Amino acid sequence: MASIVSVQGVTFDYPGTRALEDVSFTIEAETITALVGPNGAGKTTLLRCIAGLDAPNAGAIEVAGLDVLREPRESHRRMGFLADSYGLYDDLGVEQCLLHRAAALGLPAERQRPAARRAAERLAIADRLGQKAGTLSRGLRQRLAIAESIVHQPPVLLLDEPASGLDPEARVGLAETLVRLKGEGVTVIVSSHILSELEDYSTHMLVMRGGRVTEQRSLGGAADAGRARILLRLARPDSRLETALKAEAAIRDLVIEGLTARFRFEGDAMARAELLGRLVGAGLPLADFAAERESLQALYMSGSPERTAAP
Amino acid sequence: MNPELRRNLWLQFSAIRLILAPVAIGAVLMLVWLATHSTAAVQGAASWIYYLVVLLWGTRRAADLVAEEVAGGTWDGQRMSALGAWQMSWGKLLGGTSYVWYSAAFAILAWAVAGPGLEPGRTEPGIALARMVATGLFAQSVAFLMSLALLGRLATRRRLGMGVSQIAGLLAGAAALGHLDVGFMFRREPTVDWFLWHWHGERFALASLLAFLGWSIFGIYRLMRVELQFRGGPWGWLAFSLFLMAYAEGFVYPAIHAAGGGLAAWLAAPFALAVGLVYVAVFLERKDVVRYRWLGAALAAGDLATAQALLPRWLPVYILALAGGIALALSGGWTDVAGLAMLLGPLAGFGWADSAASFSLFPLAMALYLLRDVLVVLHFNFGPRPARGDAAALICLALAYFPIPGILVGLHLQMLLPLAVPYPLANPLASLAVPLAECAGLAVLVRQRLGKTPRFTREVAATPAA
Repeated sequence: MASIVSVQGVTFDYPGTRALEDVSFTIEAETITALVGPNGAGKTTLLRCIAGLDAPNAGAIEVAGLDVLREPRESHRRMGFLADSYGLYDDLGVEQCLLHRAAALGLPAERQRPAARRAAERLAIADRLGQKAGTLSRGLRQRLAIAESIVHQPPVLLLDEPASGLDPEARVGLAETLVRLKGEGVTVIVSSHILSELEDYSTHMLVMRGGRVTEQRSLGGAADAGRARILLRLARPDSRLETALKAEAAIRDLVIEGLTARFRFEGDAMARAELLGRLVGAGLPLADFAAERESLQALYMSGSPERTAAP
Repeated sequence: MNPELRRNLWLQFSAIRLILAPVAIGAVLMLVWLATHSTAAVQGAASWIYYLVVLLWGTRRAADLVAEEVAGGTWDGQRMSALGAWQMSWGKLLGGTSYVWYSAAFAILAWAVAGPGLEPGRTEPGIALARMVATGLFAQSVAFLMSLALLGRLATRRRLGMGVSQIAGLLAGAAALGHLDVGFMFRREPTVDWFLWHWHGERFALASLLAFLGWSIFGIYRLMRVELQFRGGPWGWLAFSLFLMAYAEGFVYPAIHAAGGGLAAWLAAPFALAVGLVYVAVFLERKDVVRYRWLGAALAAGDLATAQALLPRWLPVYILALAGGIALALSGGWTDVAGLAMLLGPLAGFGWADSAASFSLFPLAMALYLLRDVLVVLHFNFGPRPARGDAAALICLALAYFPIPGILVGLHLQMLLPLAVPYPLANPLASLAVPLAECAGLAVLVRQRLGKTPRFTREVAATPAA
């Protein structure tokens, strides 16, 4: 799939502090990338650089084919950005907020109202158009802020800690919103240090540590890539299970607990099919055999700080 | 319609506010009429109300236009818009103060209805009206300009930034009204001689006011460009400096021309202004060590396009000041300033034989002390606490220019005065060598701070929360 965001060799200094060091990666279109890392890793600085709000010392950033550093204003038409500490014009109505953003982002007058309505519908706040922004609940404010960010239908959306301060219900709503936007063709980069919420909707993970990208990977694609984590469950206890699994050369990290076995399997889908056939052929009473999706937390923790970025 | 103007109009106007302004102003003026039955008194009251509204309230609004957005978290959204700097500038300035002007319009209307021309000396109501409006616009645009200049440093201290910006706007308004004597421009002289032209005083004041209003709006546009991530450069400030030098020279020109003054006479005013403008620029501009590093890197790489965009505003004007100092020193015109020598004579610990040469070199010495002072400001701003850099530099320079010279004189150590301040009666060698040595020492210190390799941010938490 073609890349829609390209960051190459970006370095950013604050006085006395280097926030980003030679950061390079690309993001595929129509994906949701979780930007994760400890506090102070450079996530917010990176997002602000991609958004064209801060200019890096060195490097190049391209979003949807536009050089952000050379054409920051034009590139804003092709992306939306929601900052961690976003604000709304509390005394304006929801529709006025959206109309203002649509106009400020250069939409022609005749397209502003339809665009505002569409954004409100996408974020399920169309029934609040006449309500003042200052009277909305936190979750609805978040939705309005995201609606403002996508009112011009940008192909790229950047979100910095969007779930911060949201209650569980609003977080579920946010996850659904992001999945829906991805389905509509929007590429999302979302930063957070709350990994459990990111894994609900992220398709990729970008790990930052100490101002560098230390890892970039696809989530849930491990099985296809030949590195599946398999969960196997028997219908009844069978002492032959351990012997059969230990005999398999492609199995790693085997853990058997009662009727359940978990292990990593080095092999593609065909190899997994053959393994399943051998186990069934051996007469084991298999009830379940499935590739597990690894948790974002596990993937993050397994990443070594020394590992270099995978572009 | 400009989206920023429209947004401000939405925010500023409501049905109640539309009614409130004319009712409140009308009530006050009615009271004045009932108390005095004098149209002149009503006109005077309307004039007062107008200036209170556009100056006190208007400058407060203008000073808070961006600060309120920063505090409310909406400024990044504005910077993410596709609006150009010019649209953003005038949309904010006129939109953010639109209700102020709506209110002021009723005061102006009352002033006009009560009888323009009744005010003593105001024979041309059109000029008076234009000056009233321009004064309000000028004060507000200066307040807005100052708030943008301070944005990077006082963003987290909204009240302080707003206060300083409003005071700047009020001072500009006071100058425009003639309450601050800043030159012939604002004096109510019947005529003003500027270069070889004789101007009607009121018209000259209005033309000057409009010119400075134009420059203040141009300044807003330039600073807004920087906020919106457009590349800038110091050329706007340089252009304003040249304008100001030429403007000031226009007032001294007739006298110099009549007296047949030499080069020193022509250069004295521009030189003094250039020195002052360097101080203004160096204190108003953000002294970001990263930006200076980029400048050094761009120069080292021969990337002149980037380097010119990163040049600090003080630098080109300093080069003008230095050139002026050298020219004045070479022309030797200052050796004629015998009166100053007579005044300072009792303080001098040097022979009169040296004084002529010292006076000759004094402008050049001043340019060197100016560079020293700039380096002091940069040194503190490149330090571990850049937020306090300007205050620390101000204290340091204030000590150098005020108590220390007094103490040295009190201790009969005049020979040490050049260590602190430019001193026209110093030994010619000392008057240049001392500031040069100080500049060299400070340059080393600044270079050390500039060259420190940035460290990575310390990671607050080892792993993110699950």
